[in-house]
Amino acid sequence: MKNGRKEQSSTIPEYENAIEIRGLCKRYDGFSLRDVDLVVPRGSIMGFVGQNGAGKTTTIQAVLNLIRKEEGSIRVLGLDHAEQENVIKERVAAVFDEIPFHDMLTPRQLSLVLEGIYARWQPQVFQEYLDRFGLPQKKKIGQLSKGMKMKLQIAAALSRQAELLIMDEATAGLDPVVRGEMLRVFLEYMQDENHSILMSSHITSDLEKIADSVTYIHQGRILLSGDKEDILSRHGLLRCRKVDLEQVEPRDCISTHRTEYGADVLVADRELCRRKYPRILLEAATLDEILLYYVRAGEHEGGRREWTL
Amino acid sequence: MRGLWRKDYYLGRKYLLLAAVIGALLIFMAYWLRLAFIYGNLRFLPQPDRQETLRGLDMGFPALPGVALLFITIKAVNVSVYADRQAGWNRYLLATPLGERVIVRAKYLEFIGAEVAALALGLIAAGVYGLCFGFDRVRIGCVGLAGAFLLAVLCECIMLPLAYRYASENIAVGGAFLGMLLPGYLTMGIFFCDGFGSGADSAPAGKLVRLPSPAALLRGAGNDSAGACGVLLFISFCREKKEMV
Repeated sequence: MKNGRKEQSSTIPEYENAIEIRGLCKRYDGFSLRDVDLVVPRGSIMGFVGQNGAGKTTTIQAVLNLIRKEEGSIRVLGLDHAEQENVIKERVAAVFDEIPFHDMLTPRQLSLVLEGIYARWQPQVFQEYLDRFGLPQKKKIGQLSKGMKMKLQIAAALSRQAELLIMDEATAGLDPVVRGEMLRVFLEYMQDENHSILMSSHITSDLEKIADSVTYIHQGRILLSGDKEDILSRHGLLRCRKVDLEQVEPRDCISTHRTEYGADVLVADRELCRRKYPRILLEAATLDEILLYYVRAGEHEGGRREWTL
Repeated sequence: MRGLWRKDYYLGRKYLLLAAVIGALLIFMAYWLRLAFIYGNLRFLPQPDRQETLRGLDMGFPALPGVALLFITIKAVNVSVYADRQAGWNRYLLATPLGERVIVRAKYLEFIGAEVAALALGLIAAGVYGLCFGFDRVRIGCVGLAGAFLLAVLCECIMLPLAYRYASENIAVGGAFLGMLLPGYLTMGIFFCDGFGSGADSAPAGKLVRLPSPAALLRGAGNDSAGACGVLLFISFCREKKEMV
């Protein structure tokens, strides 16, 4: 018993995956999630990438049971996300893109409020994060900058002994210095091998730094999912002159970006293409480029799936 | 739940201060006026005006601080709902282990507890007044205070769900007016009135109240305003009932 609340019966079995989503479907007017499959292995960081409106937030809300799914199954920490909701939420911390705390509260008051909500709240850990992030205890939250407010939310999430962090665009709108600081904090959090992170973002440079695996979502469907290093090593960009492009077989192309001088072609098997097209410059692709080319491929079906900016 | 109550306490402290100031002011006025009847210029009021005025003062004023507290409490609780929505706190709260039922139950318990506290403070204030000047008339005021307590609780039972469902405070207020006050007024008229009359002050024997005629009600300046507010609230309710949270 702590803080007058009995901690939920912690009968969490051993689990392999922090999050398992199979066949998730959710329909809205004008948008739907269709057959979303996503697995976040225990002890790993999953980067969840997609454009604005791709379905990242909807997926996260479904995981947190903030919205009702229509089809599919979701398991969090080895438990059904709806049947064992309260047990799961005691061990899962969510960080949203917008700060959910009242402007009139101070960080000190917030700590007292959250102490009355979470059985596993650690006020001393929260205080340490406040000191580390340079957040004043007695200043109203409304008077803090956006970066400081996000640090406060992250500090609150990390002070709960949560096993799983779910972050929805948590670093969007932050300057590079603050983002770098937050990424270091997340890596420290991951030093415990039982901890996992699902991090949605369209800032792929952050995910390239810390993610173990990446999932791309576009218009409610998963385009690509897998180990980050594997994705990066498999994909490449063929920098073709106009004359070179004729040699490249359409079946090797994910999509083709026509430029004034030639074309850039995203390929899914870099090693194969390096052997097939030795005279064409082949470079590694970034996560950003991979996402862009996959999205364009979906928009320009047929043939080489060509597009221009 | 304790965390939720703490949060509302931190956010609602200004309403506590407001309630304390208004309550103190009303108590001061009650005693000031009462003492004026003993030591001041009001002791020179001719009868029967003096008797009637004193009677009204003893019945109404001691209960006023309690009534003010009751309705300031409603405002404070409803404002906390809108503040939660504006801050995005509800979404965060749903991601906590509390659950929807606990969250809503906490709000209702908080409201009931605050209303009971307001009623108790009001009765204490009226009781002290009664100790000083006699309990006979104060007793009626206390009955009125208890009635105000019931009215406040019933109003909030209508307003709180509307406050959660709709973003506009007008809908909650309009809902309480249409769902509670207007039917209550009409019910009072049906059961306690012997018919619409010219609006005489005293009720006929055997009846509790006399209601003015509908025409007189609508003609009266204050009643015109009440009628206009009711119409405006109804229109606001119809227009905004589709507003999503």
